[in-house]
Amino acid sequence: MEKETKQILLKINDLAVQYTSGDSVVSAVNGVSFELEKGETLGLVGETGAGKTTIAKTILRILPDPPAKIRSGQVIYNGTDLLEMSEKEVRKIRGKKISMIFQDPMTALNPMFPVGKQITEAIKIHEPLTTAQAKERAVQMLELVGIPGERYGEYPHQFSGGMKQRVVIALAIACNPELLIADEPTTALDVTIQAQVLEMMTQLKEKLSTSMILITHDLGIVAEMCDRVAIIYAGEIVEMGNREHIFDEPVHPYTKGLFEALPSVNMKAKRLKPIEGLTPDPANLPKGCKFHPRCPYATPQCADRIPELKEITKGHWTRCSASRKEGV
Amino acid sequence: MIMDTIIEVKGLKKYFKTPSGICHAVDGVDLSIERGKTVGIVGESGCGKSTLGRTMIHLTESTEGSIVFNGEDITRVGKAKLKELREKMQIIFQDPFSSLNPRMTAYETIEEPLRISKRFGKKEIAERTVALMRLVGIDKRIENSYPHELDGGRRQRIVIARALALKPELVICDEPVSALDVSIQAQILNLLQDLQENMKLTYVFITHDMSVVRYLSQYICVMYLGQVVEHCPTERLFENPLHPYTKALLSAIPVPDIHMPRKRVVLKGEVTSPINPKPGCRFFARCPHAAEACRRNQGLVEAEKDHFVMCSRLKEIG
Amino acid sequence: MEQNGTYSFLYTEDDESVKKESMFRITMKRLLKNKMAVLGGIILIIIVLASLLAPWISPYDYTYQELYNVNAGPSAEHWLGTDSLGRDILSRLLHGGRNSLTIGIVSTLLSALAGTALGATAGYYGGAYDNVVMRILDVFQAVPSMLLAIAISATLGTGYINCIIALTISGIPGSARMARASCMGVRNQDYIEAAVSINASEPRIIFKHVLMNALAPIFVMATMGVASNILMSASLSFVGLGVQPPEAEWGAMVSAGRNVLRYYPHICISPAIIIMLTVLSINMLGDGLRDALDPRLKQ
Repeated sequence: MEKETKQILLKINDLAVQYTSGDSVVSAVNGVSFELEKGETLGLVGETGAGKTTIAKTILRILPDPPAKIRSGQVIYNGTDLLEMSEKEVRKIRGKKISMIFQDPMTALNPMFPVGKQITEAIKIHEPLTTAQAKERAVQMLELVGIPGERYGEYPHQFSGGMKQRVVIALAIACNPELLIADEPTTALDVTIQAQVLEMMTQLKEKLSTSMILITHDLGIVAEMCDRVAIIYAGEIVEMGNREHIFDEPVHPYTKGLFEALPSVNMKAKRLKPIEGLTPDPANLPKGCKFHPRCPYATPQCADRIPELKEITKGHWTRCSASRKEGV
Repeated sequence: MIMDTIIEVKGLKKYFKTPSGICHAVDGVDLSIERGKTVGIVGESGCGKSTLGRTMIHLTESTEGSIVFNGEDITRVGKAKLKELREKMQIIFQDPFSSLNPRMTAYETIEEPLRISKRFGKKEIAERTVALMRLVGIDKRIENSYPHELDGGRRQRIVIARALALKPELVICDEPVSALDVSIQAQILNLLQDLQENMKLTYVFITHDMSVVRYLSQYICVMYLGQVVEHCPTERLFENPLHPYTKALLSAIPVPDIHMPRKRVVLKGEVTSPINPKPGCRFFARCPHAAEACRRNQGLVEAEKDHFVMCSRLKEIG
Repeated sequence: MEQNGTYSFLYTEDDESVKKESMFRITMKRLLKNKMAVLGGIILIIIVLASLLAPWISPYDYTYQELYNVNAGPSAEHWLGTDSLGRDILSRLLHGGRNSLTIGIVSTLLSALAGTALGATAGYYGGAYDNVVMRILDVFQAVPSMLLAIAISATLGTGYINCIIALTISGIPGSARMARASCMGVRNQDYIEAAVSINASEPRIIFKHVLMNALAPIFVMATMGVASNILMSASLSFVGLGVQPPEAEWGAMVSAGRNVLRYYPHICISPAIIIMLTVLSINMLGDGLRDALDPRLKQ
């Protein structure tokens, strides 16, 4: 990785998104900022309802409005704010420069068309190619993700889950995007199939040097794939750093709690240490630090004030007032 | 050494008719479970682990084989006996979103098995329901909440309370935590562990998650396409996996540790279909060590003490 | 949901439980929030009340013929005019509502009950029973329901009761199909298996677990059914098979007016508008009920 010539591909500034349904307002994303360098893989880690997918959809400008509303923030891609662009301009970027792999391969493909044709169509939308050329590229893409080119004319139902996810990936990288957003790309797959897909994605990333945002709840996958990690809790980044920061010296109590709550394959634990309490209801977030009701280190101040995201060592950020005092 | 066996199945088979042939969901499983212990059944989707669990407790009828529960053959039982058995054998489902009736409150759900059993008076039902809620850690505050108002963890607690209402001896846990978030998952796993100690429960823990099995179970069966391909005490499986599938499965798990050296066995191909399987080793098509000998039908062999493997090429693989 | 303060997973004695609300009250509360449904409900109540009170509020006897004043347009004496026999249209509308609404509601209720019983059991048990029931219903459904109703009432003879019977029978296949589809969706849910595993009896499973969760679409279809059965009974009267004169019935009134539609449109228009209003209001109410009955939607 070219650490010296640091090139920022995507920069998100203070993004806030709310969903409104009836009288209730759900704050899904509350002031999220991060940067993504060229060629880098950033992991967005969090639990159900933490706002990971909302962030991804905002970047792609595919948030359903209503009910979703972007309250504030910028999504700066190669120097221009995606949120300011017209739909027409965004369409030139979406699917070509930035594309997304969805969690469920079953619903991401149109069951009525052969898979190869779907890829060809996607290519033709963005590239000035003839049908024959686009088809040739589609076959290449299928082979790149490990599907024999002869299966071009087959329909999605003729593929198994893992194969379908490969097709989805082929579709996503068909136009050679600069940024790939993968939303839980292997959650629907079995472990051995997941291993195949992860292996393939790693190779692709090396080959195409695509930047990637990987959304997942699985810290194991993060350890394997990501250069940098952002831990998200209740719509906020609570800790962000490179993989060494997060895995070797996690600072935020939530990050620590996550690691402790995981049963390990390598060691028989006597008893797990769960994070007490419930994941917060996004329609009714606690005041102050969002994690304080569940935090074992919470002090009365934590309930009053939302701690800022502070850089504690170079590139390692955390949103916890206690960690500063310890002087980590 | 006297083994106090709670349930023993021999040659258990469950076949389904499907439009494209006969699905061998469970194909000749022998299993014996000691009282008060947890047996983990691991495998990938479609390997028949859920069907095995359901067949053991008569939620579906077996096609062939025998089931002995508490020393009594229960392979074929009448309605009255089945009722009695079901109070002793319970199941906790994977998805707490679909295993609760959306029109019943937490209280109604937990109370239902007590009512149906007709063994208790009104007052006792109420007392027991409250006690059950306390047992699984449900606030009295939410007793009148409907499932959609609750999060996954609390729903799963309700499911557990319902399963334990009639003090069962054997509980089939069918992926009870895989739909839950990590932080909640640990809470439920601890709860299950505590309940086992308090109520002397025997668990059959069905899961695809190796780390969860390692945490909870004393004994593990690895299933592949309807067959148990390896079974042994938990620690031994992790220290010395013998079957090529088990090895691949273990190496495929992403570990949340960036300093772990990874030597991954990436399997080729996909899980083949359990419909009309070919004779011979079921793992043949994906096995990195497949050879001619594997085309013959395989049996479980005791490779080392208390460690059974279904692979004819163990020596060659080393 | 409480979000502030300390969480405790431990059971606390003094924690007051939230008072239980019955499903009915929850449904009503949600229904009242839906403006369209409330509007539909109000219109429907007015129509029903007016029909109920017909003998007391109608200005004339509905059979009284003012022969010197036939086909008269709306006037101060006859607000909606008179028909070709000189009868007061308003009075006939009010009285006709009693017939039309009863036929619509009773026949729908009966066919929904019978259809749900057949469909729910077919959907739950499946197999041979399902096949037999559904194939028989297929035969019924192969005949267009209007033709079927005409055939039945032609066999049974005309009249009020026979009209209800005809409409009930022709409505059963549709509601059975609906109930079956809806129950089959619920049947595969884990909570049905859970109910089996705690020894719940079959009737209990079918009623409490399957039907209670499959009811919403059946219920909605029934409300729509009332509307379509009123239209159908109107059509039966229209072809001369339903309620017979001098009894008033909305459909029959439209039918009677059609001969002189070009010269005296008011005879046709006012019953037609009433039919339309009734159907519209019931559909609006039905839509609202569907949403209100879904337990997954937040209040």
